[in-house]
Amino acid sequence: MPTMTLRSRPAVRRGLALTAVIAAAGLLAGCTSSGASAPTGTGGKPTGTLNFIVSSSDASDAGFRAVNAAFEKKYPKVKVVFDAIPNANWPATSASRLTAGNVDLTLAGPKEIPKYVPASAKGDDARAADAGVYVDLSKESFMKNLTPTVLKATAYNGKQYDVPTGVSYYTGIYYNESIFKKYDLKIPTTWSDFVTLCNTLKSNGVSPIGIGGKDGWPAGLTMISAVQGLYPTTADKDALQKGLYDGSVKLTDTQPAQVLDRVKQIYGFAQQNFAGVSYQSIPSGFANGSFAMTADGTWNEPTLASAVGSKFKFGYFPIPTSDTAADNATLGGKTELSLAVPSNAKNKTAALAYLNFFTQPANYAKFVKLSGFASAEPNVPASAFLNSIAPYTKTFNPAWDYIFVSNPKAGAKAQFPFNYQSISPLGSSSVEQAATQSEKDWSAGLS
Amino acid sequence: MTAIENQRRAVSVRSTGDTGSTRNKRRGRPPVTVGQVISYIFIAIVMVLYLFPLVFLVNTALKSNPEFFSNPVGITRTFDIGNFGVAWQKGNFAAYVLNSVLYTAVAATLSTVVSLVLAFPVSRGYLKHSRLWYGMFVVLLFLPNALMTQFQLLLRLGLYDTQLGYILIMASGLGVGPLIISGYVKSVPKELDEAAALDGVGYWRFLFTFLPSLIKPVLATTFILQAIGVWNDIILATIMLPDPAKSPVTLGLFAFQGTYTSQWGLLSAATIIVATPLVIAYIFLQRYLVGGVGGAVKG
Amino acid sequence: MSEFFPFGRRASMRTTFSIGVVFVIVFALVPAVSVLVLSFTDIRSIPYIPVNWIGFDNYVTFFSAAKLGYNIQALLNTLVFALAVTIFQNGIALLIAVALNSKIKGRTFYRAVVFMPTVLGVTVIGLIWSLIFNPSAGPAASIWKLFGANSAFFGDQHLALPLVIFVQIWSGLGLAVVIFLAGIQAIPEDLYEVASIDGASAWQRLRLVTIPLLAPSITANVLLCIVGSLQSYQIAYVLTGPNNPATQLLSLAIFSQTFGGGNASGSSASQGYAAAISMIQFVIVGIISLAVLVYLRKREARM
Repeated sequence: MPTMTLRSRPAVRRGLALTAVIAAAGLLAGCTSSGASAPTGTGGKPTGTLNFIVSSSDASDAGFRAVNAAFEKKYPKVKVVFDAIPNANWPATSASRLTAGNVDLTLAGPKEIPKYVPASAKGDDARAADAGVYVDLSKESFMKNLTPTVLKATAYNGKQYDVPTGVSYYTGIYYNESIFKKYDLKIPTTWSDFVTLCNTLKSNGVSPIGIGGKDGWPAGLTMISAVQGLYPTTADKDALQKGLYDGSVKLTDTQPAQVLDRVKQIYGFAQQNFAGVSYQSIPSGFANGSFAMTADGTWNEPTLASAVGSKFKFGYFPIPTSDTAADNATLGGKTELSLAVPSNAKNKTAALAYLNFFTQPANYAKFVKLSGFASAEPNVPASAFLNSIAPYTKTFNPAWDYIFVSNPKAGAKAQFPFNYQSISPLGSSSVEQAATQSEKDWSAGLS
Repeated sequence: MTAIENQRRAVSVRSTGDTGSTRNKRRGRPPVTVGQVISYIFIAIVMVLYLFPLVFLVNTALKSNPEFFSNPVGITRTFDIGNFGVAWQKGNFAAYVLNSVLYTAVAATLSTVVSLVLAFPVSRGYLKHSRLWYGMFVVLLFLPNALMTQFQLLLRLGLYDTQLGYILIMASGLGVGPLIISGYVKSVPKELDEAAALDGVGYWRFLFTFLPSLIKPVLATTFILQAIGVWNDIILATIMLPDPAKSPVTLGLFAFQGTYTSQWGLLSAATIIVATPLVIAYIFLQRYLVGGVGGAVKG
Repeated sequence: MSEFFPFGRRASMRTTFSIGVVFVIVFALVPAVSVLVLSFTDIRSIPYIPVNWIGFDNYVTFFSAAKLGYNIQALLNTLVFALAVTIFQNGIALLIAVALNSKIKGRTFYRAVVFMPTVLGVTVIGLIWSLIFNPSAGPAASIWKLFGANSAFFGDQHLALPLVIFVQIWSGLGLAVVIFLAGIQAIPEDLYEVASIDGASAWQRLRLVTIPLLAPSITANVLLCIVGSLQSYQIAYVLTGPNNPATQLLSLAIFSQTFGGGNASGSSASQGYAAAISMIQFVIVGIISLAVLVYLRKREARM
């Protein structure tokens, strides 16, 4: 339901929707701009009001509020006016406040697009960065606090316009350890293992997977997971995207169609009528044992933990969508809520002081603890949960929706471009039909 | 009256022949007719469709979160009224309701006045090109969605994030106002204008004091239609009023729902808190409603 | 030419009329016409991004091979939605009004109950019906279960639009009932008595007395309903979200294109594109409403 706010929903949605990219180039090529330059934001004494907006969710709001309070304590002359905007209102509110010039700190994540992608596909944040809407933070000393690989991932044309507040992974699935123990199940590492496991659960009368299909995008996570296993490296995903844009790869080809086939099979293991279930009723269903697993992002771990309480232990593993175990060993992720300073901000001094304060490891640790994000800085202690998935997250591996640039000229069914929404029961199509529809809509947009 | 006269004749002519194939063949007036029984049954079904969701909402509001998840449909066993206290504390609804009342009252009044000022001379033909103006009233009905440009306008006028700006935008959507007022005014004899003028009543005095007392029903209707639109707005408020302190209740409730996502009991309680003052106000005002809509559609 | 003006000089009339016209022009007409202008640009929601004139590109995109199928589907959904809402809402409202007009007990109460959703507003309605049509734990699911069935409700591709239509009617019925009731109460009682003496059944009285004399109310209700339902998306939005293909309406597409982070019909499309859809919708709504208005007025005149 759109009236509900979810951790990172806009980010995911934007990821699915606007999908501007960090190309492999961004990850691999050197980024020289972060470095030793004079700090500009830390010099002046901040005073006055700091207007700060983010898209709302319980956990990250709590994290920001804690940092805000500490910041106000250190700088008593600054009053932080913090507005956590309901996600459904975020695009409207942020755009209108940016236009009106009454925001000093907002969210933005400009992403580069590869050369073979038409310029018309460039995202709004990137266009805004080109137009100088956001302050270039490359030379700020506090950027050195962030993990270099994360900085490389968020660089835009060699510059840093935003401070990512964390990392989330979302190509995995939560599982109920006591149900797994009861049926003597082990964490699956290949697709056939996973199918066998789901069938075992089903034959014992347990719904294997919970999906909040009514909101659409939670079902899309299964598609992203399928791409993660079938195109495990960033180079694979890039090649896929390039092939799609130059027309050499068709969505009806065997491997792309396999993505939809995986999605279809996962839908088959989902709880009854999942297409009408909203995302926010998933945690309680998981806690009640209505299903043994749920495909979700790491951002939702605090919510799941509080719903489950002490009833049972749960863990998280990558959905093994490949038949090769090695391809299933990494989790795809993205950087979270990226803070940016608008060039027309009235109180840039305070905004930069805030970013400086926020990125100090001691303060940032507070935020990470409350928000449930994986740290975007080295040497910040991780939660037990994040430590438990550390083997899957040794390197930052961007998920498909983080890489793929949607083609605005293509039709609705080729948006992601894998047409998970049309597959029954979310839509009413078979794998072949869904692939054909999306290929038609995709190729129509290439001319 | 001639139309009704004709109608009456038509009725008596047409109805004498055919009495078959109808639900109710009774004549005369027994204490309870079949028609009334059917009416009762029909109304009973409608009442169930309307009251059940509301009762269900109250029932949900009385459940603690664990109870909701273990027993989502059944009648509450805990009667947990704590939800109301928590929702009241966290929701800040009193302020939101006051904002909404302000926006609704002012914007609906303003738009009714503007509708009147526009409709009367056009309806009377006191202006040149009356048909053209009338055409404009029709176009006003379905203007394209202009969120973005109205926002830009307020920004340029320095009215962005002000209550005045929001009220002006809401009031400018006149909808059917001018149309139904000009329709109704036609039922007021023109001789009244002339008589009033002969008595030395000026145009403004006539328009703002004499005429309204004659066309109260249509003014009430215009006001109510407009008020419903303003009261239910959420999109324009999102864009024009970023300051949460100025949020109307729709937005306040929306934000509340965004923050307390899966706590259905709490959400239901908040919903009821918001709805109760309205329901009470409506109960007091509703007897004016039918009378108000009354003649408005006669024109 | 204008009629004789009894109030002497026209200056006072012109003053107030001009104020009214200026108000409407500034706050409603200018923004609306600007939408037409924007539809020829690639303006985006974030400010300061250079804006270019792109001529009819947005319209070409709307009718392009990639988008046309989706847009036609949205248009069809909109027409089905508007038609169903108009017919059922007015039909049911008329029956309720007739029933409430008979001398049954508690009619004020019934009327108040039916009007309640109008007072409650869209957010509340969305919450209530999401609770009821929750597939795993809602009362509707329990009722389905009695018949050994189950459904995803708003997640069911075939059921979602009918359910949204149902909720839309549920929400809008009250106002239609009030308008009809007002019209019915204006019908002289003796007409019914004459009809009864002449042996007219209840059905005949409805068909031959009530409906013809209610023509102006019917015009008002039908017009309000058509214009409203062709442009409304809030109920669909709160119940099924912005991107459910089964409930994709033209107005919802405009909303999600403009400000809703819309990913339904073109990801990083501009607000210029949304403006173009707005204009296309404006033309469609205009043609349909005017046609209906002319038809109903003629019909009234015949009565």
